[in-house]
Parts: sequence; C-alpha cells; structure tokens
Amino acid sequence: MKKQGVGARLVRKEDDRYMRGRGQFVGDIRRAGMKDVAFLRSPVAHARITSINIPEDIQANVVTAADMASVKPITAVTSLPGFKPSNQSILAEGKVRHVGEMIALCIAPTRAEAEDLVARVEVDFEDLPPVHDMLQAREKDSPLIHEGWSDNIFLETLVDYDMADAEREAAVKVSREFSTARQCMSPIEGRGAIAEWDHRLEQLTLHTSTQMPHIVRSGLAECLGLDHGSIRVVAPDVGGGFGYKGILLPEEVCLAWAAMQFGHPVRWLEDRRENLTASANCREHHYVMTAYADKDGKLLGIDAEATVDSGAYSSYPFAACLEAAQVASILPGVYDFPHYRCHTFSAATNKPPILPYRGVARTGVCFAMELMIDAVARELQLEPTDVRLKNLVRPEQMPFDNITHKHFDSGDYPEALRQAIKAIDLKAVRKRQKKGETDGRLLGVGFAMYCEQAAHGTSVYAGWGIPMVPGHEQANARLTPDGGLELRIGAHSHGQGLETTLSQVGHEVLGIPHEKIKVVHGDTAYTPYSTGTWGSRCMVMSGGAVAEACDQLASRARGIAAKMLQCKPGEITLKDGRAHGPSGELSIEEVAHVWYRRPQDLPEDVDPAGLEVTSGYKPERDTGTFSYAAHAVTVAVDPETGEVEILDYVIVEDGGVLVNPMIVDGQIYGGAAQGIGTALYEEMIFDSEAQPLASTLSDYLLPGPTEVPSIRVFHMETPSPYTRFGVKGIGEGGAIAPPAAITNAINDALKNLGAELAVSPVTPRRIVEAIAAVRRSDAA
Amino acid sequence: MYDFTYHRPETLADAEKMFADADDGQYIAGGQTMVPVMKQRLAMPSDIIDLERISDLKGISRDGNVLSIGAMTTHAEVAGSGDVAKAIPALARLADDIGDPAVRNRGTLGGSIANNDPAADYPAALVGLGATIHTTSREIPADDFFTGLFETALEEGEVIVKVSIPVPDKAGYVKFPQPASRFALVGVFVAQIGDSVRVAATGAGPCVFRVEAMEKALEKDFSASALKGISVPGEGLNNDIHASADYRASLISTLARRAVAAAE
Ligand SMILES: Cc1cc2nc3c(=O)[nH]c(=O)nc-3n(C[C@H](O)[C@H](O)[C@H](O)COP(=O)(O)OP(=O)(O)OC[C@H]3O[C@@H](n4cnc5c(N)ncnc54)[C@H](O)[C@@H]3O)c2cc1C
Repeated sequence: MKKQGVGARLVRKEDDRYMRGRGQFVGDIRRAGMKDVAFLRSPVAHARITSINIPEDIQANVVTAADMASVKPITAVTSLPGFKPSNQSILAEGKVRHVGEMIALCIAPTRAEAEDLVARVEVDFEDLPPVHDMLQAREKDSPLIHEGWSDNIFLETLVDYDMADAEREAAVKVSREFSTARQCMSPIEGRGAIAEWDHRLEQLTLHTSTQMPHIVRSGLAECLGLDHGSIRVVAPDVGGGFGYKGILLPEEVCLAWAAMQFGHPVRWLEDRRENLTASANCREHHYVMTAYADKDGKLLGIDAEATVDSGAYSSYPFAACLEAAQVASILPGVYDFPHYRCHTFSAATNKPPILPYRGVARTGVCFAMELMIDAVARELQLEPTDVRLKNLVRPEQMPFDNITHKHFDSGDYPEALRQAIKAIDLKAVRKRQKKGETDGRLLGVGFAMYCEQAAHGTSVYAGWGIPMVPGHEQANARLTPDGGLELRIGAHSHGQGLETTLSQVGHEVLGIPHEKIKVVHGDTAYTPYSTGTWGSRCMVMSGGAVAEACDQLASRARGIAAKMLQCKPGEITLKDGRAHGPSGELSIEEVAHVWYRRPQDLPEDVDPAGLEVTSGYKPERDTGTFSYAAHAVTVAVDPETGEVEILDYVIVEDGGVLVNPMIVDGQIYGGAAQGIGTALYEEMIFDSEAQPLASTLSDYLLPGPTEVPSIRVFHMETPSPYTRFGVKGIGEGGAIAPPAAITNAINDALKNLGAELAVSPVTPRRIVEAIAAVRRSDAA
Repeated sequence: MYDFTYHRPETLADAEKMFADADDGQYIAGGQTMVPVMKQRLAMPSDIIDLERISDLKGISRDGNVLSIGAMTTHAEVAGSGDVAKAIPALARLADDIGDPAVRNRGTLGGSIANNDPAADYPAALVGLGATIHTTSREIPADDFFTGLFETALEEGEVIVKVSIPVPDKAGYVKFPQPASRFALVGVFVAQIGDSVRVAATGAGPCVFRVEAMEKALEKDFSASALKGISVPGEGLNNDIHASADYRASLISTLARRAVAAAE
C-alpha cells in the first residue's frame, strides 16, 4: 500500500467537492419558508440616534433595539487588571460607534426587497466628534467612545526587564517609528448565517460560516438566555476564515432572535461592501521603538511603546486587547537579549472592532523588530544577516525560555537563516547591486525571521481570562460495521485540509485505508466541545486527540480480536489494518463485523465498551509549539514610479514533523500571498470622519495571481519534544514575515538614496514620497 | 438592480426613437460600466436600449491616413485588428491593456468615451491623436468632446457612431495601472503628426487634458531628454486613496518621457 500515514503527500480529500463546485456553503442551503435579511447600518461613525422612523406598512418586517430588550449585549471581558469592558448592543441602542454598525434588521422574501425596506427606514442622528486614529484616541482631550470610561484605552500594560541597564551600556542607540495599516480580511466567502427554530427538538439551529461552532453556541446561549441544549450550531463548508470568522457576530445573535420571533427561517449573507466597510478589521499597529546594541551589533535591549487600534468594541471571544497583550510578549521574536521594556495600549476608536488575522500580532511585531534589526545594521554598516546571526537563539540553548518567559520548544534558528542566505544567494545579489541595473531600477535584498507560538494551551490563555480558554481537546473515533473509521472533531476545517490530515493520523495508528476514513466536523450536535480552529492549533490538538482516541480504539479492537483468535490482547499487534495473533490473523473489518453484526460469535465475557471512543489530549507541555522561518526576498524598485517587483522569494521553514508536506506547502504559499498583500497593497483608509474609504475590491487592493511570485519553500523538520508525532502548528507563518522581508528589501534598494520606509503597505506613492523627502531635506 | 424594459433595436433611428419614448432611457453597449452601476442601484433606468444589433456602429477600416473605428467595437477587436496594429500600434496596445479579458471582450470604444471615466485609457488616445467623434447628429473634435468628470459634449439621446483618427508618424502610450482594475492611475499618450505634437494625460485630473509645455518642447526635439525639467503642478490633480496629486504630477513627467521613448 502507498504510504498514507504521517508524512505522506496525499491529495486533499475535500478538494474533490471544492474543485467540482459541489461544496455546500451557507449560501447553498435552502430552507422551506426562508426569508432574507438586510441590515440598516450606520452611515456615520459617532452619533447619538435621536429617532428611527419606520413607515407603518413595513413595521412588522423591521426590528430595532427596542424590540430586542430581552437580548443581552455582546461583552468580551478579560480578567487582566484595568481592562475596560464594552457593551456591544446587537442592534445599536441610543448611539452608534462606527460606520456599518447595525441599527435595524429588515426581513423580506428576497435580499433585494429587504434592501428596499432598509432604504425606507429613516434615522435621525445627532453627530458626535469621531475618533479616527489610535494616537488621537490616546490624547487627553480626545472625545470618549464609551461614556463612563475615563479615557479611550481598553487596556494598558507595561513590562520592564531592567531597561535602564541597556541604556547605560550601549554603544549605539537606534530609534524608529513604525506602523502597519488597518486591513480587511478577505476570504472568498463572506460571513453568512441561516437561523431556524425546530419545534420538534425545541432547538435553535444556526448554520453559519464560522471557525468555531461550539464557541458561537456558547455565545448565543449567553446573549439569548437559552440552554446550550436548545442550540445547535452547524458550520458547513466555509470559504476561508483566517480569523475573520473567529467571532460571535451580532448578526448571528440577531438572526437567531428573529428566527424564534418570526417562526420561519431567516438568512443573511454578507456582501462585499459589508465585508469591507462594516465588519471587523485587523492588523493596525503603531510602534515607537529604540534598540540598544554594542558596536558589533549584539543587542543589549529593546524599548518599545506599542499601540493597537482595537476599534469600538471588544469582540467575542478574543476581546479587544489580545493583539496588544501579545505584542508585549512576542516582540523579542527569535532573538536573545538581556533587557526589554514594552508599554502597550489597546486604543478604542470609532472604527469596527479588530480580530486576530492569520499571524495575529506577529505580523506587526515582525515588521517592527525586523525593520529595527536592519536599521541597526545600517547604522553600524554591517550586513543585516550578520546582525541577526549574532542575536538569534542558538540551537544548543533549546528548549529556551526567552526574556518574556516564552518556552521555545526546539529548532535551529541560525541554520534556517544560513539556508535562506544560500538559497537567495546573498553574495550574488550584492555583486549585481554593485554593477547596477541597466533599466535604472534599484535592486534590494531583505530578510525577516519569526517564531510562531501555536496550539496555545490552557495556561497561556488562562491568565487573560477571556470568554474562551482552550483546554484538553477531544476527538471521537468510531469503527463502523464494515471496518471503516469515523472521526469527529469539534474544530472546523476550512482550507486547512483536516479531512485529509486527521485521516492520515487515523491511518497511522490503526492502519485503516485512508479511503475508508471519514472526518466529521463543524456541527455541535455531532462533535465534542472545542474552542475551534484558530492559533494554528488543530494539527497538534485535534491530531493529538484523534491519535489518542484511535489508540484506545486499537486496544478495544485488540481485545475483541484476542477473543476471536483465542489469545491474550497483549499478543495481538495491529498492522496495516490487520490484527495479528500468535496463531492467526484477522482484518479490522472482520473484527468490526463480528462486534456489530454477529455478537453471538463472541464469548460472554467480552468487554461491552464497544468500538467507539471519545478521548482527549493535551501536549506534554501546554506552552505551545514554536515553528519558525527565515524569509528572504529580492526586489527591483523603480525609483521614478515607486513600482516594486519581487524577483525571488525564498522561505526556509521548520514546522516540526509534517503530517502532509504538500498541505503545509499550500498553507505557506497562501499565507505568503496574504503577507504580500499586507506588505504592498492592503489598506483600509479612514478619513477624519472615520469613514472607510474603500468599499469595493477595486479600491481595497488584494494581491492577485500577477502580484504573487513563485515562492521557493525549503523545509527543516525539527520535532517538537512535547507533541504527538513531534508536530507543530504551521497554519499562520506564511503571513507573518513578508511585510518585514519585503520592506527590508526595499530599504536595502533605497539605501544609497538615503530613503527608508517604515509604514506598511509600502505603496508606490509612499516610495516616491520617501525619496522626494530625502531630496528636499538634502536641498535644504 | 431594479426592473427595466429591455429593447434591442436594429437601426440607429429605432434606437433614438426608443430613447425618446422612454421615461428614463439608457443606451447600453458592453455593459461593463452600466451593469455594475445598476447593480449598485446608482442608476435605475426605466428602459435599456441595447446597441449590440446595430450594424452601422461596427467595424474598423482605414482610408488613406484616416483610421475609423465603430462605436460598438470591443477593446479586444481593436487590440486584435491588423489595421490598427499597422496604423497606430500604440492604440492596439492600449486596447490590449484595458482591464481584464472579460472587460476587453464586452467593453466598447463608444461606451468608454461616452462614459468618460477620468481614468479611462481611450480619452488619452483620442485627444492625443486629435481624433474626431462622429455622432448621429454631428462631428465633434476630441478636444471639445471630453468636457469634465464623467461629462461629454453628447446631448440627450445622441449616439456615438464612430471615431476617425488621423494616422500619426509616431505615437506612444504608457500608463501606470491601478493594480486592481488596471484603469490608469496616470496614463500619457504622445503623438507626432508632421510638425505637430500632442501630449494627453488621463487619470491625473478630473478629465483628460493636454500638456502644452511638453508639446512645445517635443515639437522642437522629439526625444525623452527634451522633456527634462518640465513638470506639471500637482494643484487641481486627483487626490485619492491610491495616489496623491503630487505623486500623479510626478508620474506625468516620468510616463511622458517613457511614452516618447516608446513611440513608434
Ligand atoms: C473590472 C473593470 C476594469 C476596467 N479597466 C479599464 C481600464 O483599464 N481602462 C479603461 O479605459 N477602462 C476600463 N474599464 C471600463 C471599460 O473599458 C468599459 O468597457 C467602459 O467604461 C464602458 O464601455 P461599455 O461598452 O461596457 O459601455 P456601457 O457600460 O454599456 O455604457 C457606458 C455608458 O456609455 C453609454 N453609451 C454606450 N455606448 C454608447 C454610444 N455608442 N453612444 C452614446 N452613449 C453610449 C451608455 O449609455 C452608458 O451611459 C474597466 C471596467 C471594468 C468593469
């Protein structure tokens, strides 16, 4: 048999239906009597609602906050000291705090007719001064987003590891200001949900495009005051998540309430305009940073002040301060240095809330830290890779507890960088740079590194006390009467390929052919509780749980086989889907058949527990796995137009043992494409009235096929000492380093002109302006 | 999109009559602008009059030094025409760089210039080449046709029949595309006909415009270096999320030099 277990490059099972256009997304589901919903959304960023006028003939089809008094607002608090909670009413109550906030729900037979109703509802506003910028939000006299707060800060944190010592000892001090744009996550399928009430089961069923069905169920129970048993949440096929669907949506709560109230199914499908202008965003960070180093580039300390624009509300379940709190703990990245200070602010503004997007805070942190390393190198006239090699955590230090007490489990960071230097051929690039380009463009090479904590455990999240703390992950494994295997997990697969990789794990343990293994996920009625798919956790956590459950199933099967082969269970070995005993062998299929269909053939004393097991898993240490990578890129910059062309892109990455290297490659390519978007294109600009200025994909720029180069990926495979099979989470990494690597390459290209970019995305306009600014200051 | 009545006339006379009879009629050509605008409910015409079946609006022909292109000619047809490639290669390439294949196979020359999007490519070519726009009632020089932001000299119900373009000695077009739509963030068309030179910039201002200082310099010396030091002030140019006015101004200078260098 072809290898089908851990390490096999199997084609994804799920792709068959996706490639044939047979996926079942929320938009493909029809229910008898179903009606469509359109939301009336706020056109202004900050205002009091003075009146809502609904024409009499449509009043029965329009819902406002006044109708939903019994529903609780969404509150996502953390137990971190000083955190200020926000109440997000399902429909705006009295006040709106960002453009796109929902004011009324309108129901009609079709979406188009529902939009006609929206157009007939009139809302009067009394404008309040909007806060469009996170630094403005921090000013003393800034208008307040939430009455009753003393300022606009959800949470302020400070860590200081003897920073003053570094200031005394350093030979050089390099200061910079960095910022990354607010982005809109852009899965192909937007959000969407269908809510219905089942009178037989006395149960609300919500089909929704989510990454975390069990968490949505808990959130709905809290807001609607229902028992968990009265709610079933189903995530069918989901067309991309990336963090965008790791949230309890006010739309979901509103739809659930409406289904119960109106007695017929209701549906809402987000359109692209809502996606871009009304839903949660991500990534907007600002850093003021100083690095202290000796004259050889050895870092003595990093001093940082970081602000994250958290938007108007704290989203459920991740809460408004996840990004900034993470910034403080992960800014030191892959480096080992003795002193560190980080002061963070999670600022509230009149913009939609933020969510953790693929890579979460790491993309911003990597941008700031890796641009800083290059700035130090330029200051000292050193090769940036040499500065990195001087400061990287070394393999002999592993496992390593860094300055913020992150426990790096395994790996060889310098080796990853050395391989990247070789693959991009740094020497050749430097030689070509000296010669110059015949077309007048400037060549640059840039590097960036990160390590990525994944599969965060209970202890990592418990300290934050947010509505969702991951615990032991469970899986259910069931042998079917014909010897097939069904695996049920509470996480969800929407592009990660879990229907394939978990099947590979099942095969690895039980030897059952891949074709006879089915992975069931995404339905709270069928699967064990799980916090869902986020934080690159599923291969480690769900994979570990599947392996545990399959181990126990193997032991049950051995017990039955022993009875049939008249030996002791310990004498049975399972191999290639067969049970081998001292005097004979059986297929698992025969064992299952006898157990289910011919129990009369088994002796009286057979263990009645059966061939279905639910078991749980937690890694030996729950501080997470740390995959890491070195990205290297060469670019050509046109100094006249500011155009950037990526000439070569190399990724050397270590994600531990790879269950399916082909799927890992796909994850890295996809992540890197999104990282290129962050680096060069994606930016949701808000004007001074906090109005979002891009409402279509012709204004919100995403990288397309012509913008994404061929990427060369190289793997190292250092097992994690703490996880089943030595796997690590790798789902997000590709999206972390491109903004840093590409910007470093652009800055390398512009080095001789004296221009330096520190704001992402690095657009042609920003490049031309940076060059012009240097020329102006040279002239002055 | 709201309901409307759909008409498909076979003659220009019928089309004009249907337009006159309608409450709020609109012609449709390739629909690449009309359909999205209707989908977003920004236009709600009562009647749509499709120009697709009118044979008078079709075809590309060359008569001596004049190239004629019918209003209903698609961008793909212009890009693929041997006559165009031979007479004005820069125009064929311009058409080939519009949008994406779907837009090029549906969108038309007449629709593009009637719409007069500030970032459209054809207005630069027609002004840069000194073309003439023929309508159901008159002939309008390109210089007078494009009057402002999404505005033209067309009267209510007037239909563009064709454009006629003098074949230049040399012409070049270079655009800096907006990455998503490929519309011109800035595009500069340069043409030399006898002693006269025309330079037209699109995407930069509310409407296509000529850059006279560059034209004068190029009439003396048709070379990229002749443009050295000539810049267009940023004042009055478009300023949006993709490009500031100053950035657009700097692009005009750069692209004009490159268009001259590329002219053939
Ligand atoms: C994704 C996308 C990318 C694009 N990229 C570019 C680009 O890179 N460069 C560029 O220049 N353009 C671009 N366009 C616009 C494209 O060229 C359109 O085809 C053009 O704007 C309209 O042409 P149409 O034939 O589709 O006209 P329609 O959409 O059918 O009509 C547009 C307007 O013109 C009127 N009209 C049409 N024909 C006539 C006529 N004969 N007489 C009088 N009025 C008439 C209609 O009544 C309507 O008001 C893009 C469009 C899209 C959707």
